[in-house]
Amino acid sequence: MKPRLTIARKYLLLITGLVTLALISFGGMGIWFSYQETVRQLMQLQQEKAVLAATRIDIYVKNIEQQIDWTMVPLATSIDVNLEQQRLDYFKLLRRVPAISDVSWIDSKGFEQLRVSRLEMDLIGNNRDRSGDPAFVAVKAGQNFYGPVYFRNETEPYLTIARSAGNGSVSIAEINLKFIWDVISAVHVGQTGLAYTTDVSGTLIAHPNIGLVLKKTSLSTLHQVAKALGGGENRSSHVVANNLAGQETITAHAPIPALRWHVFVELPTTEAFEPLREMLVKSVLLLLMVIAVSIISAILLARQMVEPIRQLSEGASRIKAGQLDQRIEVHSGDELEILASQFNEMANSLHDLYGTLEQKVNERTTQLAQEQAKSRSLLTNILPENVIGELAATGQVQPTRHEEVTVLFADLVNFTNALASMPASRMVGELNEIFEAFEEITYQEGVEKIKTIGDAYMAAAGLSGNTFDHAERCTRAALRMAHYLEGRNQENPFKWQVRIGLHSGSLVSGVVGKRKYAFDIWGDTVNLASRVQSASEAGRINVSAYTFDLIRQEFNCTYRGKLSAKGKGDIDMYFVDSIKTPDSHHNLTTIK
Amino acid sequence: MTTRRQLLFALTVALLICGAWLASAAEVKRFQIGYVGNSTPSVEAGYVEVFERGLRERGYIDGQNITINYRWAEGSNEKVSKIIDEFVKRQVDVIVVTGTFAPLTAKKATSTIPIVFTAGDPVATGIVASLSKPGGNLTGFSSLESGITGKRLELLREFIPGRKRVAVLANPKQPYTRVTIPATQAAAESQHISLDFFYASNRTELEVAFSAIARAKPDALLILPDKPFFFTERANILRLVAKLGVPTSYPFPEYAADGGLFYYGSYSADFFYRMAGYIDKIFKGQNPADLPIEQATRFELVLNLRAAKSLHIKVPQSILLRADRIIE
Repeated sequence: MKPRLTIARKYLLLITGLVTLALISFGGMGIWFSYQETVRQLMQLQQEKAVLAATRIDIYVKNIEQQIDWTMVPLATSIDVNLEQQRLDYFKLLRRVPAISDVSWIDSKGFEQLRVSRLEMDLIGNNRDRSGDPAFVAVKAGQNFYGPVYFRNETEPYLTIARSAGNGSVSIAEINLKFIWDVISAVHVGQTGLAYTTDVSGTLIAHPNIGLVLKKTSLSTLHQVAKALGGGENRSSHVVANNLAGQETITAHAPIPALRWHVFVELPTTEAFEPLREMLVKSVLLLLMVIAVSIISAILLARQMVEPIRQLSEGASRIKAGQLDQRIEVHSGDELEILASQFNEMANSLHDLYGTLEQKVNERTTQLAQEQAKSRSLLTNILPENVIGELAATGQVQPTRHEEVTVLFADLVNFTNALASMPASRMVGELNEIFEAFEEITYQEGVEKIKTIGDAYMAAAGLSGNTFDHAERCTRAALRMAHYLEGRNQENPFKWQVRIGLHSGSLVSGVVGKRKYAFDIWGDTVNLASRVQSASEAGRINVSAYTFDLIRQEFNCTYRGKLSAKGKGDIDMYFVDSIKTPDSHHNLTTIK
Repeated sequence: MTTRRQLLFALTVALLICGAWLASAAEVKRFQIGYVGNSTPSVEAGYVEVFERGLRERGYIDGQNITINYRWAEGSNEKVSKIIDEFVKRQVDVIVVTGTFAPLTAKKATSTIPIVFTAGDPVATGIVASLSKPGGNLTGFSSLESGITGKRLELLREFIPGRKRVAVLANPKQPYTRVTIPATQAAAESQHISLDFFYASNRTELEVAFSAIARAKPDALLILPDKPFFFTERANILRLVAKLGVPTSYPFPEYAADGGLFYYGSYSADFFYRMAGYIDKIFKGQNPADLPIEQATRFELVLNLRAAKSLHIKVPQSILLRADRIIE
């Protein structure tokens, strides 16, 4: 019987299912948490970068302001201003701050007294009226001034910074923003990310792609920029939003409060999430690996569990098939091993039981065969061979008519007289010895013993098998009987004579009786044979003319004449003298 | 067994060939750069080195993924033209030129091959229409030389306090002089300086011009920028100036380094480093027409105190304070 679901598969499904479920749920949770953590860290990193860039720009600008302020110290203290000395101070300023390309000193009345430039010729005491300049106005009002970003010769971005120079005078410096661009481009944001700066209106003022700045691109429509500009001062935060190129980016933002600029740092999500993807791929791979390992171990485990069961089942089926000497080898060290050993014990007992049984059957069979042989031989003594066959096959014997049979009667002469002169036991012993010898002779000559009637021995030839020489065989047996007795008489104290008669003809044979079988023959031939015997003489073999006719080729006979056969009238009778063939004499002498 | 081994071997070889073929197919195209050298390899050695470094730092290595074809004009306008013609004929991927003559010649020679340049005043000399939108096939740097001319004159004057006769040496075959001469004149006017102009476009003319300058006995000499000729004839001109013995303003920083009195301006190897940036952008598919022309940001005063000593002049405080590089 094949099971619907093997134990191995059941265990496999169970173990694999449990392990996979556990792994997937734990792995999934792990991935989810680390995803959250990574995103948070990424955002924080961007935020820090933005703040760093903003801080750098702020420090840069503050440093410029400080440098301008230091330069202004002598101006602030001396009332009578030495313009030539101031010019040298400005030269020092320009050397210290490469970003300043021009610096002017406006006196307290708003007139430009000095202008030092890297690109243009210096102006000293030119008295240009700059009192209406917003930079001058703002500083006069007590504020620091940061002008809007403007471009010189189309492509150089500039910023005007104005500072109080003491005594109501003002320093106005033109700052080349490219130096700040360098600060911005020094902010490395991954491989493809970048940093950029907008002014308070969202107009781009610094970007690695200068072309965008020169086009005065307004980024106020971008979600992240709008959010930064609209939101509270310090509500700087990070968002995932599309950049100018329509690429999805993680954008962080930090303000530069003094300049009212905003620094943005953006990193395309494709790059930002790359490590995340890698991590995800690695985690999934690891998960798959662990699942594979668990499946393999589940398979092994299930096999290991099921193997003894399989061996048990195989062993059982072999035992079922009759191989009782089969032993089941299970060394699992658990209940299954115990089960297997019990199984083995069972097989052992079965084997022993079966062995005894077989032996007994053999014994019985032998006994039976012996019994059969014995009963058959007994039967053979009683019945002729072919009759036994018929009896065995059909359970009965049909009466049979035989056309050519020779019947022999041998009668011990003076038996009744002798019976009176010797003990009965000795008498039976004598009779038995003689009849045994007769039986042996008839058997050897192929003549069937029919029965003994008192001291008479009755036999017939031609009842079964080849019957053509039934008369010769009977005659030969008769001669040997007579000869036997002659020999016996020479040694034995009791001397016996036998009178033998033969007649040939047709008769009927059959078996009578149910509990005690008796094979017998009937007919005139039998009666006549008995009469021919009666007409014989002691030690002689008397045959009817019909028998004589059958044997005269082989035997020497002497005609006796027509003698009376009781109740059958007179018939021709002959004495058989001897066998014609020379070797037959030899045959006769061999009989003990 | 042997046939199996042979089969395995054949398979391996086939795989290797396929792999090599794929690898070669995947190999990036090797870009051809045509570098138009105005002078000689020795004169421009410093620039070439920085240029190659700029390319290398952007991932381009000569002989691997790029080939830089260097050609040297040795100070001759004709040779510059020939080199550009060769590059156009060979259809290089980008032409690198400096000065004003070479960019203008290249512009005339091709309207398709991208040209990266460093020029004195590309808008005024007609190399490009606009700095922010150059258009066409050119982009690069403006070194702002024309604006600087006045500044140079101002500095020169500070070496000769109280005097005002300045000789100006220019190359008449240099298209840039059409811009620099008027600028010089305007600056001289505002500073009350009188100018005498002398011209030379070859060595013979140079000798003649310096003879004439010597005869004019100027207080100082201003040499206007010129590539390739003045740039290449540095040693010759320095020799002639030394003979002349007047404070001189030179158009290239190497003059001051090699014994000239001073140089003021933006010209430096940095341009070559940054031109590699434009080349990178062009190789990556950007159109030069969309790449705005950047202007010089850093200006440098290179002062040679040995030259001052030999001229027996006292370097004024205003100059010393501004000197970014002093050669002693």
